[in-house]
Amino acid sequence: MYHKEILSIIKIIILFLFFMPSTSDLSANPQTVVDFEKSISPILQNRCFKCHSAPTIDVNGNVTKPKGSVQLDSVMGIRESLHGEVIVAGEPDNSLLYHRITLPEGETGIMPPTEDSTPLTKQETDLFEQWIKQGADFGEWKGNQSQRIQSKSKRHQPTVMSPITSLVFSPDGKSVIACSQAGLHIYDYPSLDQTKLIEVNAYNIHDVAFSPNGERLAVGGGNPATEGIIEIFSWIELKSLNIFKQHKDSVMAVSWRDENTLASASLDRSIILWDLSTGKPIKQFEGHSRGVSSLCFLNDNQLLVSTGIDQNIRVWDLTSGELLRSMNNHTLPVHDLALRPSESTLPMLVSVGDDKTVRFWQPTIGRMVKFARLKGTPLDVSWMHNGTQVIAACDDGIIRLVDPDSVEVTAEIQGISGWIYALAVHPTDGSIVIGGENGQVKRIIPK
Amino acid sequence: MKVIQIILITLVLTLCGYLVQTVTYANEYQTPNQSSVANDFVDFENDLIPIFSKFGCNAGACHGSAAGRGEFKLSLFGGNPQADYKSIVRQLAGRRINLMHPEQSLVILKPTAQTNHGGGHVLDENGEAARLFRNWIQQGASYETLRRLERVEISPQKHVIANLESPIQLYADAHFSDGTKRDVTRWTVFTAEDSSAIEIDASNAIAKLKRPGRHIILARYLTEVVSIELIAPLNNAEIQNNHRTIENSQRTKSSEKIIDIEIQKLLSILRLPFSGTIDDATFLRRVTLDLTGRIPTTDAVKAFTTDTSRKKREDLVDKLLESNEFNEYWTLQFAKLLRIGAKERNTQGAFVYHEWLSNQIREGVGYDKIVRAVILATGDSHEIGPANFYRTVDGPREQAEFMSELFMGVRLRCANCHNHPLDKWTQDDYHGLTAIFAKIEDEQVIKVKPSAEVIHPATREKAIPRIPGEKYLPSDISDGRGELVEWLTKTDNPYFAKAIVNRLWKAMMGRGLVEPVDDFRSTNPATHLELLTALADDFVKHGYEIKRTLQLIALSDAYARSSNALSENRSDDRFYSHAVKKPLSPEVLADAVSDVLDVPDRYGNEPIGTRAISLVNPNTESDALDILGRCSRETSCENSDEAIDGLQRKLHLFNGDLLNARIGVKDSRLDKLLIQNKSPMDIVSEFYISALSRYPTDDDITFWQQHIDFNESANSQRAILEDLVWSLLTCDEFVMNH
Repeated sequence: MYHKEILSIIKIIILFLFFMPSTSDLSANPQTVVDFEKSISPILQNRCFKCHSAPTIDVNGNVTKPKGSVQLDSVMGIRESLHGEVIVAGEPDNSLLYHRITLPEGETGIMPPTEDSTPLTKQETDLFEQWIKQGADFGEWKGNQSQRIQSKSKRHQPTVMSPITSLVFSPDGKSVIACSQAGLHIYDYPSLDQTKLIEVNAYNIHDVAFSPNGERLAVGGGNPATEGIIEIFSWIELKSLNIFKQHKDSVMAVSWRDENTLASASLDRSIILWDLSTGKPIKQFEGHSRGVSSLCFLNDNQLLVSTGIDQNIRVWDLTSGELLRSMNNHTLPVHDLALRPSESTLPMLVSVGDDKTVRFWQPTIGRMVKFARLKGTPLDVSWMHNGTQVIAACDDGIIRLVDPDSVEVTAEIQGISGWIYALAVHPTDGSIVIGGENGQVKRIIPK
Repeated sequence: MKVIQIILITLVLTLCGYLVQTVTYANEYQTPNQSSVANDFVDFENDLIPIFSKFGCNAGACHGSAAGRGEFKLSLFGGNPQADYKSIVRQLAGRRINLMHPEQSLVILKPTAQTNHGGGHVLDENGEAARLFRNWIQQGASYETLRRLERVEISPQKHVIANLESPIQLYADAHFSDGTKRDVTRWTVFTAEDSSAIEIDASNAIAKLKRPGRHIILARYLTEVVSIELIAPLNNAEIQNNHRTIENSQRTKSSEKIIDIEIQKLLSILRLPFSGTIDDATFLRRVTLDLTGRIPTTDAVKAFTTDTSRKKREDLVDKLLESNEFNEYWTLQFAKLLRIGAKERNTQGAFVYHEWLSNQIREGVGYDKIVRAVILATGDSHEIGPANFYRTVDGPREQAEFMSELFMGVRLRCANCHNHPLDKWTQDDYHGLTAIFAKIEDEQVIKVKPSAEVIHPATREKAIPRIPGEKYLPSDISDGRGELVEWLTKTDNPYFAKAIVNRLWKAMMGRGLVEPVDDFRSTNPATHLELLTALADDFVKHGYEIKRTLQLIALSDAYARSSNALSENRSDDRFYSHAVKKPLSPEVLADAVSDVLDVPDRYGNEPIGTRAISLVNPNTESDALDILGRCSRETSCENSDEAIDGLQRKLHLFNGDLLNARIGVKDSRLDKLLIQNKSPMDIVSEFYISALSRYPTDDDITFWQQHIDFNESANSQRAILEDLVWSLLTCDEFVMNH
C-alpha cells in the first residue's frame, strides 16, 4: 500500500509537470474566489501530506505521527494543530503555513524542506494567500475526518466487534439506532438488519438519544481520558450537524431537555447543560466525586437527577444550579436511571448498579421506596411504556423483569451470550431490543 | 502526438507500479519475524498479566491497591486474572480497549503516556509489551487461554559462588499444561529479599552479591512466587570442622544425628567454622533454663560438675523432661501460644483452660490431641477448659487468623482483602476458613450455630466453608471443624507438625529454622529445610510428643555449642556455628532473681512463694513483670524478644527496686549467709554458683579479693557484697541464657 501511495504521488507529479504550461486556471486571480478543493487541496496532497498526515501504524504496530505535530489532511487537523496557528482565516501573514511556504529557498523552516523537494511556485503560494485572505473556506471538504490512526497495513478487520453500548428506537419504531466503537449502527426493525454504519468523531461512544421532536440525534462519547465529545446528527439524513467539546473525559450519557438544551454526563465527574444554538455551556454541575453514568430530567424539566460511580443519586435544581440532595443507598457504582412514564403520582425513578440491586426512588422527596436484589449485575434499565414493569439488562446475558410494586422478579429471559449493556423498548409493540458484547443485537418479545 | 506520449508514459508507470507492488508484498509476506509477531496468539492470562507485574502496574502502590488507582483496579500482582479481564474488557462499557482501533485503546495509551497517565511513561509505544497488548486486542481481546501455568523454574535454584564479584545470570522458564516451556526471564520480577545483600539488574536479570552469606531472591511470574538461594562462603579457605564429637556420640541412629548432619552440611558450604562445645556447668544452666525455666540450684551445679558418668548429659535431659518443673514451664509456654487469659474479664475461663492445659502437659498428651480438643471444643467455657480457645480473639476472621498462625504457622491475614501476594493463599481460603468459624458461637457457652455465615467481600455473597489451600466443604455444612481438624492432624499435613517443631526449635536454639515462626511461606524458606522436614517427620512418628523433639535437640552437638563466636563465625546469626544467646523471658528472669536473692516476689493476691511462670492470669499485678516486658497475650506473644531485651528493662534492672530493694533484706540469701558468718569469698563463690551456675574463675576471685577488705568481718562488708549480688544479677551472663 505504502509503495502504491508513493507511486501514485509520483504519477500525479509527473502528470502535473506535463500539464503545467496549460494550467492557467490554477493561477491566482484576485477577482475570483479560490475554491479549496479545486485549487488548494491538490497542492496540500502532493506537497504536504507525505509528512503531515494523521498518524499511521504499520504491521509491526510502529506508529508514525505527523511531523511537528502539524496535521494537514483534515479540517480538524488543520484547525487543531499548533493551537490553530497553521491557518488564521483572513490573515495570511499570521498563518504559519503561509509563512513557511513563502520563506526563501534554503532558509531553515521552509516548507516543503529544501532537501526533500523544490519550493512551491509563486503561483501556488499566491493561491494560498488569496484563499486565506478570502476567509480560508474549506467548502464541503472535511478531509480525513476520523482523526484516527490509519493503518498502513490491511485495514484491521476485527474478529470480535465492540460492544453495543446504547440503543434507541426511531420515533416511528421502524429503525433501531445503536452505538459502539465502530460508530452509529442503523438497523431495520424488526429484521435488525444493519442498513448503515455512520462514523462518529469519537473513539468511544456511550449514549445516543433522540431530540423531543425526533429530528435530531445526540451521540455522547469521547476519546478516553482525553476529551468528551457530543455530536449531533440529523435524522434521517444522519448528517453531522455539530460537535460540542468541553468535557475532559468521555461523555457517558446525554439527555435532551428541549430542542435547544441538552445535558451531558461525563467520566470527568461533571455534568454540563448545553445551549445548542450557541454551542456554549449554560451551567456546569460539579458534585459527583467519581464519573457520572446516567442522567434524567423530571418535574417539567426543572430538576435533573444524576448518578454514577460514586454510588450516589443526586438531584439538581436546574434554575439555581444547586445540588438539592444526594441519596446514597447503593453500595457500589450505579449504572443507569430511568423515570417511570406516568405523571399521576410523585415521580418515581428506578436505578441499577453493581450491588445487583434495582432500587425505586421518589427523588423529589428524597426517599428510596423499595428495592429488589437480582442474581446478575444490571447494567441498563428501562420502564415498559405503561409503567407496570421495569426491565433490567444484566451482565449474565439475561434480562430481568421486575414488578415495581411487589419488587419481585417476574421474568428472566435469556438474551445474548455475555454482557448486555443496552436495551430499548419499542414505542408501541412492547418488544425489547437488547445489545451488548461482540456487537450483538437481539429482539426479545416478553410474554 | 503529445497525447499518445502521455498515455504511453502513464501506462508504463502504472505497469511498473504493479510490478513493484507485487514484489513488495512478496517481501513482506516472507519476513518471518513480522508475520510471527502479528500472528502469535496472545493469551491474556499468560502473556499480559506478567507485563502488569513486571512494570509494577498491579503493585500495591498503583492499580493493585485495594481501591485501585485512578478508578482503575487490578488484582494485586495479578492474583485474580478474571477480575482483571473484567476491569479491562468489560467495565465502563469496554472503554479501556478499542476493538475497532486497537492502538487507540486506553490500556495502551495510558502506560505509553500518549494520554496523561498518573503513573507516567511506563511502556515504550513500540516495545514488545505494547505490541502484545495491541495484538491481543486485534485478535479480539478474548480471555481464551491455551495453556495453564503449572510451575516456574528459576535457575539457578541454589548457587554457591566462589567469587563475590562474579555475576549470576538468572533464568525463568515457565512450564505450561500443554507441555510447552517458555523462557519468561524478561517478564519475571526478581527481588532480593535483602536489597543490601544482592543487586539485581532488572533489564537483564543479572544478580550480583554485595556481601557474602546465604541470600534469597524472590522470583515472581504470574501467580507463582519462587525463592532461590545464592550463597557466597563467608570465609575464603576451606574449613575443617571437627566431626569427632558426632562420631563419639552414643547416639547412633541416623534420625538422631540428623540435626548435626544438616547443620554441618551448610556450615561446610558456607565455610563457617563452629565454636567449641560448652562445659558441663554451662550445659547444665542452658538446658535447665530451656526445659524447666529455672536456673539450676547450687546443689545441682555442684553435683553435675562432679559427676563422672559419660552419659550424664543424657541422664540430665531425661531427668529434666520428667520433672514437675518441666510440666510447669511448658504449661506456660503453651499458655502463651494459646494466649490463655487474653480476655482479662474471662478469669474463670482462663483458670479452667490453664488447668486443663497443665493436665495435658503433665500426662504427656500428644500435641495433635491437644489441638484436636481445642478446635473441637464446645460447651460452657467456665467449665470446659479448651472451649476458651473460642474466647481468645473476637470474631470469626480473627479466629481464622489465630488458628492458622498457631497451628499452621502461616499468616492468612493478607488474603482477607486480596489473594496473598507472596504465597498461595486466596481470598477463598481466608473467607472459607472464616466461614467455618462463623458457625461457632463464642459466648460463654460455645456452641454450633448452623445458620451463621460470613460474606465474601469479592463476591459479596456468603463465603463457602473451605479448608485453606485444600478443598471446599459443602456450603450447608453446619460444623466444618471436624473436617478441618482431620486435615490438620493428618500425618502428611504440610504445616501442622512443622509449625510446632519450628517453635520448639526456636525455644531451644534461639532462632526458628523458619523465622518469624508464624510466617511459613514458599518465599520465606527455612534455613535448613531438610532438617525441618526430618524433625517434623520424627515428631509425627513419635506420636506428636514434644518431649521427644526437645530431647533430640537438647542432645545434639549444635545445642551444646558455645555462644562465644570465633572471629570467622561472628557474623553468623542463623547457621548455628555458635549458640544464640537468648534473653530470659520476663517470667523466668523474675523467678531467677527471686531464686538467687532467696526473696520471693509478690504477684497480685497470689500466695507468697508463687512463681511467675505458674501465674494463670497474664495480667496479675506485678511491677517486676511489667518492667521486664511481659506479654499480656492480647496479641500474639511471639516475636516479642525486642520488648524483653530493651533499654527499659536494663535501666530498671540497674536502678530500680526490683533488685535494690530486695538484695540484702532480712532472710535473703545474702542476709542468711552473713548471719551464718560465712567468709566473704565463700559468699562470692555461693553467689556465682547460684546466679551463674558456675564457680568463680581465678580472675573473678582476684577481682573480688581486691575489693573486699579482709580485716573486717563479712557483716561489715555488707555494702560491697550487696554490690556483688547486684552486679551478678545485672550482667549479661545472668540475664541471658548463653
